[in-house]
Amino acid sequence: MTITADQAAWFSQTFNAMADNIEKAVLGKRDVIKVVLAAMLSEGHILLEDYPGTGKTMLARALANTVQGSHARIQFTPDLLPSDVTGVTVYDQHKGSFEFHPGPIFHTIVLADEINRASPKTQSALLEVMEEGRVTVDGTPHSVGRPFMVIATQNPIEQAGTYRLPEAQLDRFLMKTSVGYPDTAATVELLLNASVRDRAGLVSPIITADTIVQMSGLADQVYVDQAVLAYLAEIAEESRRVPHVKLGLSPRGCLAYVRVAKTWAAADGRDHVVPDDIKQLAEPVLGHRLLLDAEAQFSGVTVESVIQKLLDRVVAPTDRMV
Amino acid sequence: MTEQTQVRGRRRAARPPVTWLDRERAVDLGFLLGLCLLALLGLGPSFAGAGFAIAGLLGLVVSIGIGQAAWAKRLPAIAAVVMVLIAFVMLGGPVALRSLGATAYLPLPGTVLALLDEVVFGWKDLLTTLPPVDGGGTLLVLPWLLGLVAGTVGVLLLRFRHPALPLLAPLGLLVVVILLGVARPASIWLQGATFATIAFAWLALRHRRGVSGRSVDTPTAVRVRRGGAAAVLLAVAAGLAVPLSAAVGDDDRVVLRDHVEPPFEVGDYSSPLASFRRYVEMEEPDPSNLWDTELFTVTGASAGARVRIATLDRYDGVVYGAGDSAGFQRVSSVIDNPVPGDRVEVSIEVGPGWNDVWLPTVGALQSMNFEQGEPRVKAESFRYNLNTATAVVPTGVREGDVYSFGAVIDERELQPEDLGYGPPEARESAEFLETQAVQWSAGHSEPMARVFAIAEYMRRDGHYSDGVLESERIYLAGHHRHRLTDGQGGVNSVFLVGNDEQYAAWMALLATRVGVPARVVMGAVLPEDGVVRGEHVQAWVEVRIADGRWVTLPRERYMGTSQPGELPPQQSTQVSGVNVPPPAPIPPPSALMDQADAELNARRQRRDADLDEPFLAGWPTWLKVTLVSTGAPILLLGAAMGLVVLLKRIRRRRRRTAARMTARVIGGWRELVDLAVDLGVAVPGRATRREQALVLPTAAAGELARRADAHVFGPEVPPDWVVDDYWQHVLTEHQAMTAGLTRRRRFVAAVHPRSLWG
Repeated sequence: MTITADQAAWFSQTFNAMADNIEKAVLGKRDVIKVVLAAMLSEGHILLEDYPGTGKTMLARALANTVQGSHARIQFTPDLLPSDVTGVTVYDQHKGSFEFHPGPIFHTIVLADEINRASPKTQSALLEVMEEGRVTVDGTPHSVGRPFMVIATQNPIEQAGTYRLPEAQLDRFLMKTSVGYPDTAATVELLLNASVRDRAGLVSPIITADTIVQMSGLADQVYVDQAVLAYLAEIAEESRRVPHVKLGLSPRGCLAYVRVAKTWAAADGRDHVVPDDIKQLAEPVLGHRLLLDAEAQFSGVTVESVIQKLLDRVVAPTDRMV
Repeated sequence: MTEQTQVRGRRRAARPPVTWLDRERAVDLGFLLGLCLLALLGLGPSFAGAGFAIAGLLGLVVSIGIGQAAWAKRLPAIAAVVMVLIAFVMLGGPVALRSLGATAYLPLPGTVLALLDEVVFGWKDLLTTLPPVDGGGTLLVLPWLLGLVAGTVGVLLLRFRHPALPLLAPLGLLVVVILLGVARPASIWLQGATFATIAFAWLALRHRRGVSGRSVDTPTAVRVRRGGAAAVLLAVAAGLAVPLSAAVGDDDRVVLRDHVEPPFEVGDYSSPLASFRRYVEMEEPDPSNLWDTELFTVTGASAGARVRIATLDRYDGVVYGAGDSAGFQRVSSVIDNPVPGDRVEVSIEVGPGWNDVWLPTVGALQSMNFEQGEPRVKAESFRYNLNTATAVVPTGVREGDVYSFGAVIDERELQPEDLGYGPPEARESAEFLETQAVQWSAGHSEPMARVFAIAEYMRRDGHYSDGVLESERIYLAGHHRHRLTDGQGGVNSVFLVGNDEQYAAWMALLATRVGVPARVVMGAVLPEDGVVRGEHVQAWVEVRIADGRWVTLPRERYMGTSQPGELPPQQSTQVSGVNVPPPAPIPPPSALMDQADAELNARRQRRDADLDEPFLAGWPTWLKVTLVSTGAPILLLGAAMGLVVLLKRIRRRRRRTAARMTARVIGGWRELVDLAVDLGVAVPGRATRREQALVLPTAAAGELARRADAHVFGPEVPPDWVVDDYWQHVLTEHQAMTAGLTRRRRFVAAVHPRSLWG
């Protein structure tokens, strides 16, 4: 079953309304907002990596505010324990039994602020819930419900006292992006409204969690031609062959790629994916999944340059598969 | 293999091949070249020298090279054909028209016209020319063209996977070569056994490639079995081809030459015998008389040699004329004419008294070379009859013309002991002389003996008169039936009176009547100084003897030499003694010329005119130089531009009518991209349509790219009307893209080939 043109149009309209809503708080970052929204509608998680003060947390909070659902913020610190995230089982003396007290992860949108400051043990506590949408405590699984999205932020320059996210953890994130500094016009506008202390508070909910689930279901119905799939597969293969790359795109990464490409197409009002979707999403999808070798760092090779080389090497299809 | 791997494999297969020429392809091209060359060698007996093989080989190499390049560049077949056409025109001059002079080396209009002329008319010329034709003449266009066509067809057929298809090219060439050739093959081994063996070997090799990969046997077993199969195939091929080719006799070959009627009717030319009195001595000056006028000068032949002007072998009751039209064939500078005798090299310069189509020759020609006086025109229209040893130049020869030839002279004269060849075919034509034939040969039964008896009777009782003297003017000119039988010197008068004309006619007709083939020869006996004047012109008789040769019966054997005297003949009606003028000479070709020859001459002259640039005659030199130096490049440039426009139109048509709807949509988008490329826009070739749309100089490019993507990558294949609508949109934008441009930019975009290379 394929998404209809009307459904695609509604999807696009709603998507843009959400983006407009979030843009009230995060000025001049339409592209980043769309990537984050696409991750949410693909039921994936996103990692925001940027310098301090660029609006990572603001973006996450604005996204949380735009959805009529629960959200929580977890400030990751070195002394944060896994149970502080997932919750704990406490003995209830009145009932005479153990009772599970859910942690902050049990919300629709969870902001994991400065995730790389927590210890690997605490970071690992997120693995299960990000992949399977549930938490197992004392052998008992607890579902976090739908929709569920983790928006994690990390600071790329402060390396002291941080723990680099393991590859397995990174692969759990559907996409990684950075907010970046605003341009001059956006900065001026920001300064004009300097009196507004909490810009995220300007964002009011315009969509329910159920609608998010519904939109996610529609995105799954977007048609992807085999030629486009072949293009994506070839990119994945090439990512494992390209020089300086130690770890290429995994099959899970490919699946995530297709999922977000469908959402991206639906957000554009289309019922089909085109090669341009794959190209446009290459950096946020591949950026944190390609692991460069040590020589690359010495040679000044960046992930972005490797991705560009990949896209140059693999020719996008112009015809459907016959 | 996973589905995605298959998908990737197909995508990669669609890319141009990396290697220009792989091993298998090289082998195929080698076989193709070899087989076609073998087939072309069949033209050996038709051409003198090896020029034809070189021209054909060049044609093969050029066409195969172009075809291979087109294949490697993934160009369509039509592009290869067009490139071969260009090569035909560009290289045709230096390859096949060198004989026309230095200007033929350039693809000037004249050269192109000459090429086209040979393409259209050369086949007929080849088939109606007595082989071998000149190895360096313009007919080399034919092997050049055959090589190009066969090579092109062959290399294009290599695009198909069927193993036998490429064989059609050399096989077709072989058939064409045989049809154009002669009944006597160049080499049964080359055209039969060798060709068949190599062809089968190639077929086996291609078939083996075709089945490779499908076998489940071990590689060794497969190799052994394939090797055995190939050996068996070769053995069968050789076993069949050798005995079959050996069994095929010369007579079994069907060649077009046997079925193409030479467009020539010698009967249209007036008989020179009818105007014999032009050469006799007159009492009064007569401007038309040639008695003491130099006709031609012969060098290289000894005095007394007989110079043949025409052999007249058909009598229709009015005149003795040349009747064997089919025997007159075009010949080249070399004539395959095996006859016994002494070889001489003779040169003749035509004098003021000879202006006719009949070409004086000596003996049986072995070669002919026209040296002065439009030699090329004469050489191409020259015809020779091997049976009558008569040469004709339909365009005529005139004072100042010089030609030389090799000939074999057989001076043997008829002897009484010779036997006649057999009953003549035209015995009825001399039926009116039956009485004389019986009376004058009374006492003899053998045909040859009767011939000599008749000759003796005529010589003894006959008198000689040119009808010039006042008293002899009753003896009229001509050799029509009435003149030969009337009472004024005819067989019904008291005694025969006449000159060479009448005596030769009587003798030939009577010999024919008694059963010995005979014919009249108009010619001259060469004087000591070699300068032939009218006084040296004679008519004599040739008789065919048992061995098939025609031997001379000199006029001295049958012609009376005494004067007829003062007494008019009895039993005859007195007629006024009016000097009968000789028949007016019929001008050479003009009105009576055979239509085909007229056409031939016209186009030859046209072509020569083009080559000799008379169309520029009278123009200032600077203008001529400017035109010649700039005209050719301009023409070439124009042709190339026209070709580009044509290819683009073909490309658009192919795109719009592609089998798949999505391919049509993609083609529509490519039309826009190609126009932008031709306009000089740097459109990234490996980009997606949306990325390309960003650089296209039209506002609707983005929408068209999105529509194309939706039709191509969408869940459903678009229907016809949607695709047509898309194309309409494309064409509208196509026009919009050039609407604001200057006329020059539009023109440059239209003729620029940049997008064709993409």
